[in-house]
Amino acid sequence: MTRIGRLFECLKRDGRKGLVAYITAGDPEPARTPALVEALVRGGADLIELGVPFSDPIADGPVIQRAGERALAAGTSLKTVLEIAAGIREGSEVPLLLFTYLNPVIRYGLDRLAQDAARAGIDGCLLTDASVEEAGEYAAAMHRAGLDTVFLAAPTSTPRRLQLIAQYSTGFVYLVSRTGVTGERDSLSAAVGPLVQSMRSITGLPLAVGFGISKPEHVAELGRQVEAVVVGSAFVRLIERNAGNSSLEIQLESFTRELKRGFGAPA
Amino acid sequence: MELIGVEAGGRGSGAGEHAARFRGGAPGVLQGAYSYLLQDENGQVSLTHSVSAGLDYAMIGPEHAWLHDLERAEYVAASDAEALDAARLLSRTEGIIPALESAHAVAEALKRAPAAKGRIFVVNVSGRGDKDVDIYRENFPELDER
Repeated sequence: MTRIGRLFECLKRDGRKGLVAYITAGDPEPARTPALVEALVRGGADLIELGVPFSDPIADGPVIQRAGERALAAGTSLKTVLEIAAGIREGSEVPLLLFTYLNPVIRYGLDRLAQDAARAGIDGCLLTDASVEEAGEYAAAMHRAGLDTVFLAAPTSTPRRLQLIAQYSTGFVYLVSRTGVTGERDSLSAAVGPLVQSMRSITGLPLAVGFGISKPEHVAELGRQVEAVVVGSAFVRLIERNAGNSSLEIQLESFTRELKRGFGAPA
Repeated sequence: MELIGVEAGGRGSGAGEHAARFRGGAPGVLQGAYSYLLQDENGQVSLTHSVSAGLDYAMIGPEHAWLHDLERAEYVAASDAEALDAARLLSRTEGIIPALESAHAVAEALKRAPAAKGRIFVVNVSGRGDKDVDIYRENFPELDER
């Protein structure tokens, strides 16, 4: 079992919910990422998604697109992200999920990535733009290296596809709260409830919900339905606005704490 | 019957100067399709250039990748300048204004014709050039002077 699996066991045992934090690795520059991750962890993030910047990020809204551009301009590649992960792992046991588009992975090589990611201390991988119908070879390579494979389920996913997502996912299933790309929204989509119900009926895996979540109120509402909540763009925007500011880490930590309070006291 | 596909050679052979996917592209996934893709060594998609908007894209249609790998079709490239010249020639001699995309195919036919007497060429003029008139005017300012 990976650190991801152990995290969800602990959360269940303690009656707590998990906060998953996404940031784009290498934004504003690779050397800065480990300190940002440490700040998120100090603020209470339970799992970190390390986004691999990609030239054509079709799942992402403008905030994360811009982060990807900054990270690429700073020379970040998939290999750089693995090095960043290894650096984080030296001082932390926080579960790390590699969040990436497919093409850099194909270029790097499936088996090579699985081995190098495991060696870097990464616990699992999520491919944003791979169809689950063709995920067999990828999932097998990751599982051989002891990594989890997390798949995205959307409100528009068909029952057949939800079955495959449940079949190939390990660690947890990532539910996309609505149709469209990543980015903050004022209110949560009504599509989440039915998607949670559909997924619960076919899998016992923990569920996390992401896309559009940026406020403690969102965290509170979703925390009543699923095991973990993912926040991405709101963190990335904070990094964008304060990249040149020495208080960035402190701000990131305090925003994480504020979001985490949305869950309330352990049940 | 030989099948010949003509890609956008753009204005040069460097990254970002053309959209000839079979010249330097490698298999990859972009926007959900697996095909030949212009990309760097880290799998980041390259920028492209072509005078023809419809060819100015980093990936080629998967059907072409299949025909290429089967060696059923041969793929070459025509430069921006060759395509523009071919479009002008076809317009003047036949009264057909081809789309800039199709003009690349016309350019290749013109290159091959002198050495292929007696053979029949079928050129797929897949689109009309009305949409490209602004680009033709930009590149042939002398046409406006008449």
